[in-house]
Amino acid sequence: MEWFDEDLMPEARQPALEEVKHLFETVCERQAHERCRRFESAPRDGDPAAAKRLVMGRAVDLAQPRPECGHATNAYAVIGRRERTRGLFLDRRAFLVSYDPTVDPDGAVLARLLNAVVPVGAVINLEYYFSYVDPITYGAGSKLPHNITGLIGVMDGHASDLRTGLPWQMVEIHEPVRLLAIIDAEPHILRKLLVAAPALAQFIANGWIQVAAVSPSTNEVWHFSGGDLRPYEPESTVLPVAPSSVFLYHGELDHLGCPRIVAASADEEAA
Amino acid sequence: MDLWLSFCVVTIVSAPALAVLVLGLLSWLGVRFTERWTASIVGAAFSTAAFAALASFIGILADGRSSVEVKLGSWFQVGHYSFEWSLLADRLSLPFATFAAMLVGLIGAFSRRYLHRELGFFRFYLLLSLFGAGVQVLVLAGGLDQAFFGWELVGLTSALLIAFFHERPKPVEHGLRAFLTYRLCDAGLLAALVWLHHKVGNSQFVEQGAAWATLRTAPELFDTALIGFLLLWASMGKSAQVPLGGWLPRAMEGPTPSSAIFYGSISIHLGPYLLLRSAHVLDAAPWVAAAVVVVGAATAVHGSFVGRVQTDIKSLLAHASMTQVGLILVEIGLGLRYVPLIHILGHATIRSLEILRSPSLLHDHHHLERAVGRQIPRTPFHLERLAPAALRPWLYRFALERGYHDVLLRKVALGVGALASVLDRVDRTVTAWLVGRSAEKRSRP
Amino acid sequence: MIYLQPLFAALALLLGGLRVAALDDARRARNFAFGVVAATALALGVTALVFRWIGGAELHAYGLTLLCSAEGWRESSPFVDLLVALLAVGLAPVVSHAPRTIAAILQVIALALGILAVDDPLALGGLWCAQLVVVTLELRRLSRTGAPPLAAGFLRYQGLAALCLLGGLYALQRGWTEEGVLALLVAIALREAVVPAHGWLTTLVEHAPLGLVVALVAPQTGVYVQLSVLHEHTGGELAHVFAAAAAVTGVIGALLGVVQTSARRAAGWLVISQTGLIAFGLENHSEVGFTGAMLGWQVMALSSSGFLMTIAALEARRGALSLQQPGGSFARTPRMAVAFLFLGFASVALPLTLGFVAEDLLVQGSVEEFPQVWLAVILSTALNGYTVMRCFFVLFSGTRRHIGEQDLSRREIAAVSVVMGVLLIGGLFPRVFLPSGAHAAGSVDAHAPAKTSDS
Repeated sequence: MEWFDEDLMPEARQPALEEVKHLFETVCERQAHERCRRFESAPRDGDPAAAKRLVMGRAVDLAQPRPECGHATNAYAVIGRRERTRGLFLDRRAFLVSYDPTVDPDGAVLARLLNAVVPVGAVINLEYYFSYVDPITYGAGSKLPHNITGLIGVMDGHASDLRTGLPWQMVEIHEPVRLLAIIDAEPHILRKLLVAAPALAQFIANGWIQVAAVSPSTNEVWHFSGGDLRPYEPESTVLPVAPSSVFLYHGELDHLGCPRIVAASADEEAA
Repeated sequence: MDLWLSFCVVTIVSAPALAVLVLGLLSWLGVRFTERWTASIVGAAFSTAAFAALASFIGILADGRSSVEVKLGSWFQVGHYSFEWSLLADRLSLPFATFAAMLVGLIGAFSRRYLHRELGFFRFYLLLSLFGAGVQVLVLAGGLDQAFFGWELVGLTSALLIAFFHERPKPVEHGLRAFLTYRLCDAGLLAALVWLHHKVGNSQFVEQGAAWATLRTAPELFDTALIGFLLLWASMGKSAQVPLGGWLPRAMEGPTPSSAIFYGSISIHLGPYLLLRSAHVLDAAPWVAAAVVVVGAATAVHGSFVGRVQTDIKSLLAHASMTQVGLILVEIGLGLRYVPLIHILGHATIRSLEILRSPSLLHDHHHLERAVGRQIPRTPFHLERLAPAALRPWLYRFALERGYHDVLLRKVALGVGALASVLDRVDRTVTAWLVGRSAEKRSRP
Repeated sequence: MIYLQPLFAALALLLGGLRVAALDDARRARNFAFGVVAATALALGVTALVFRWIGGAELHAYGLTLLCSAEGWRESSPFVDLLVALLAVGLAPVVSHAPRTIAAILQVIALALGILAVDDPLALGGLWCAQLVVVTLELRRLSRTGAPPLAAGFLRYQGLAALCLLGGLYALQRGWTEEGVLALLVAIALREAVVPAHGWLTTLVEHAPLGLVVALVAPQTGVYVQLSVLHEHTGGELAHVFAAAAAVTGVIGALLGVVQTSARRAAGWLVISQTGLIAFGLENHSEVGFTGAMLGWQVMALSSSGFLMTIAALEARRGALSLQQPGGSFARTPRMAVAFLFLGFASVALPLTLGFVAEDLLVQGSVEEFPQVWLAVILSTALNGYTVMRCFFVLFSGTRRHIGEQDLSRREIAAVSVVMGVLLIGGLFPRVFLPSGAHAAGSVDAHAPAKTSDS
């Protein structure tokens, strides 16, 4: 984490700044530790500080074809209030967009938000999806034979078609699922927006992404299927619980199951 | 001290050979090696070799000698002909051997992460260690026979590593092209070897007052010149000199570390190494030395111009490599001895780094632009300005077609192929008639 | 003089062949034949060690001398033939090799061993003709069951060869040296497929079951006759003509091998070319060249049979092998690919194989006597190496489609490992396989046992 213009901070606020810095430092380390679970070559039992050093080393290692996870394993986008997802173990698979439906009765802010977020999220997700499903046609194949050509693209070896898409090393750990956009809004507002914006409609109606609405008032879930938002019956309304995320992901290399609510005590400690 | 030095020199060769044997035999018997074990075995072997080389170096210096020769005896003997194995560690071979061992070990360490989870991981390491062993045998050879032994092995592993991504047709084609070039030029080396035995009696390297032990010259000038030309032919193939250099840019099909070690650093410098070892022959036959200078200069000019019009980084680096080796050949032809050696070592270091960094070219470019603050300006045209303006588009066109050498070689190959096809057709017809099978004649060739 | 070891090996294989011919199931036949060959080879090995320890034994009976041990090439050749049989039978695909074919393979190799066992030239001639009869009968039987008709063409060439052989041997006995040598050289040229008498081999390699081809061709009976019968007649005009023809065969074979589009034919030309080089080397007066040719003969027997049989195994899994379309993935069938590559390169003098030693000796030896031709030998070998590599690359890589073919089975791995092991050990420690100089030239002499002691 790099801090700019620290000299402009007033003296009285310095201790608060130090505390924030320390907090961010810890967060970085824990984040690195969580990221490391996906790296086959990272040690299983490292402490967060070592994990952070490892991750930073990977980013500058010339020999490392998998310097970071990127957007791999992305699966859903949550557009709503942060309190709704507090404590959930998202496993780095979510795009989080802050949106408050209580101050947006007619959905104007939501419209602008969706127009910005949905295409970006969908494209990222589809990029990974197709590069995973068919690395030869849609993806760029393995990075190893790549030869940068014209300073604009890569081709394989001595001469080949330009390789578009993502290289295999980037999408190796991805799970090819379509993005699920979970929107914290009333279904009638969402329905209106989907009809109004043709660009959105194309993504959603043609099935490139999935959309679900969680009503802020009734907490009912509505899922877009068959051309319209329909009520969705969850299989169970009880989520499994775990004391901490480390407990959940320790030693696991693969995708973890449904997100679980982390116990409140550990959550408060982090907050 | 003698024993210790001999042991060190033998270790330089035997450590990689042992790694090859272990990996090869055990995998044939069905043992599955994990990535960690493979990389560790190869890394250990080459670290041992590098340490042994350094120890030999220190030992030689401490002893005040200029070389160590370890005679391992006769490998086989029939009548008056005997194939002698001896290892010669001197001012030429020891820097080379140390450098090669260290670089192969480095590439082994690099590839451990770079080729992680790649299907051909074990194959890469097996071929790498076979290459390393072949290079050590070649570089520490005490005679041209053993040098040939290592030379062939290097050629084979080179071709197999170019075709590493064997699921696409192009790498395989290019591997085959490189192998054909190697094979035809190795014929020259074998011919030189045989002629040397015939005229001189043996092919060992002996001290003749030059900077290091070199090949003996034949009593007659004609024979010496013939041997020199054959050795030059062999070097031309291995070091991608004009007009046989078409295989080099195409050889960048393998994974980046293998491209680095073969065409950046070691394999491509084996031609100049051979010529340095035959320095006495070059001194005795000035026509050969002149030919070396001509070939080297032509390659340098060719590589320089053609390299400028390449649009992808690996071809560019291949041609840059070709240019430098051409210059090294010019230096050798002019009679210099230590300058080419230092040039080789320096060039090898820098080029392997460049090739290893080439996948990060875009990042490096952006960093550079950010540091400079604006777009990188076009390099001023130095060599191009030497040519008259009217000629420049033609030069450009010539360079784009890579000097038409590929076209020329293609025509030669197709000619030979056409001749062979005609012979084949004649053969089939005649055979069909003789054997009495009309179906034979009709079968499509 | 009769050498008992190859004789007993021949008898064992003949009996095995009789049993195999009576079996119905091709798979059982093959496995049984494999067992017979393996057992015979082991028995031969044990007895060879025993006799080496006790210093040999000699029996005299019915006016014949029976020797229980041999020296030099006579000692190793039966093993080479048995290894050829091991490969021919071990890798024979049941699709194309019926029990009768496997029986024929065993019989042909038994006759080759018989040729090694006897000294008398007429007996030699008789056994040679017997081999031809066996092969012709088998080809005829195969054509009756739907295979292309090969017997007639084969007989045209080999019948002539048999006549020339018998005529030549008779002439030599009667003292008509010139005519005898001429007839014998014609017969040997036909048998060794020297250009232009090679048509039968290319046809046979392309259409006949490869096990049978290997059994007939790999032991190189023609080379053996050239050594044993013609050894003291080398140096004449005819012999030089023959050497030239053999060298030309080498070059032409190499050239033609490069442009072939079927793997079988390419392999056939490879065998023809390398055999030509060896036949050329045998005309050498220098000990070095001669030893090189002898060693090359044995290396060629092993590597060519391995190469051809690996092609047969691949063909059984994949269908007709064309060199125009890349096919297969060697990452899925690594053992087959490595065996193919190693055995192919053993015949073209790759370092680490025994072929390198043989080629080295051959080329070093021929430079003095044939200053115009030795370069052709080198170039031919270079081109043959390219052919092997091309076959390897086209057959085992170049596409990511893989039809799911299986790698070598355990029996096939065993057969191939033994041969590869021999070639590899020879490549690393040639002294194991090179006889000491005194025995190299003399021990194969048929007519003059007294020559054995000098060199």
